[in-house]
Amino acid sequence: MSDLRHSPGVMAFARMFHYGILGVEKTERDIRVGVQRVLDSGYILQAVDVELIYVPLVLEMLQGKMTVHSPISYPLGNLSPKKKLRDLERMIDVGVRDSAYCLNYRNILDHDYGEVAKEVRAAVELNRGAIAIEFNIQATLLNDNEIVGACQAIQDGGGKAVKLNTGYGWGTGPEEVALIRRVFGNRLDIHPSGNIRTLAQVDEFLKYDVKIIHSMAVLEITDEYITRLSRRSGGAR
Amino acid sequence: MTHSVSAELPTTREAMAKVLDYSDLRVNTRESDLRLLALEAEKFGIATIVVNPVNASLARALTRGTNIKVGVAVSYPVGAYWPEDKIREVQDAVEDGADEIHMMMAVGAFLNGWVEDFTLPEMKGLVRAAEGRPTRLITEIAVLHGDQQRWLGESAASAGIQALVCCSGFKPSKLARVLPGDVHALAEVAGQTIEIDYMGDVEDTAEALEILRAGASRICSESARRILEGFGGPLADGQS
Repeated sequence: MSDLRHSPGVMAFARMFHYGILGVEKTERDIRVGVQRVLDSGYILQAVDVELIYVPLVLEMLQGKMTVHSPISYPLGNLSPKKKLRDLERMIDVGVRDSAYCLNYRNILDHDYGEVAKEVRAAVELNRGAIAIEFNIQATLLNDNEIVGACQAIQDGGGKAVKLNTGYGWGTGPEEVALIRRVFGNRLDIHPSGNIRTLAQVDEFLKYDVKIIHSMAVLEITDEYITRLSRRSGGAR
Repeated sequence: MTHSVSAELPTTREAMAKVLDYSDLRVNTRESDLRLLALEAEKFGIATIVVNPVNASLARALTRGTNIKVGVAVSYPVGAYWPEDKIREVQDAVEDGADEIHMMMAVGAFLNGWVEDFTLPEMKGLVRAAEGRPTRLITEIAVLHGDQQRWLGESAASAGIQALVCCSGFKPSKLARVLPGDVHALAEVAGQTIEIDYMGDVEDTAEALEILRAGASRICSESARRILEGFGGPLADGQS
């Protein structure tokens, strides 16, 4: 199993994931422990997600080995448009290279998709490609029409990726991913997030050509993946 | 006003309404919810509605021509921003029409001991940027011990902050729910120096009274209707 741990297939699997250490109560110690855990695993993840104030610390710890992600107006999307754009500028300045921009969900719930597209466009124009931005909707709270409307607005505003939920109990199911893939094909990257804890869940998302997944359980899921590979290779002997 | 164990508890719907702020800080707030919030606050005799920054301008517009004040919950619910960024956010809220500022403190930074770089500057900046408006500092006492709570109360009061809010009430949070006993413990260590407020869901009128008895001066809650219904029965939509 140890041979498999750092095999190209396993490394590529782990590379899909964001690992989040987010929350009001998170301390420097929590961040250090979490980041060190990732480093000790030997995996190169898609990104490590932390609150903005911890970005300098994590940049220093990761030494360029992985991308640092920080969310904007997380998790409620409730901060003012001015504040969100200033946070985006701040992130570019401090070295964040990946962010989840939580949209104003009221606009989505009120079906004001023109405003959603406007918010996306403002971020895209300010960003000018400096940061990979995924636009966060709370898909769990939306019906199918609202999910499609929000994704269309993201696309209309120039966005390239949608993150489906923020966690905190709001999680993604494969049916939401399937819906977006069916309507938008590969024109929009889909990033499932929230309550993703098992390899079985990941398997479901991979059926829809998902390439980036947010999960705090990435290390456990990767262990599950290795166990599966190990069983398969053992079975072949 | 600071905590006083001898403070009288409300015995009527009208008296209870005076110690309530009516909030809508949910993730799924629609414009219609904000309209109802403003309407019900006026009908119930609640002086202040509390909303997210993105809804500040709309709340201001919806309350125009009434006596309802608009409180804005800045940096809610995580608060993990640099002080200068939070100060600008307070300024935004003021520009958008806020009458009161409720600011989520950087709890993690405080736990790290980053007091000089984060906690004190954000307190002072809050008061300065609020330009005389009432200010309330939201913390999470679930992760603070007594000495930390005492220090926060004293420092917030010294900075000119009106109240220390014991919790954000952010429901999906993994933090333990703050109970009346926790409010009492906070009031014991900090209630002599600063007003203690409660924020979040409240089960019913009895629990609201327990929270007040424990030492809270105000309750900021989505549950205002439920709390008031304990006095005199159900309220119809818009009924005072």
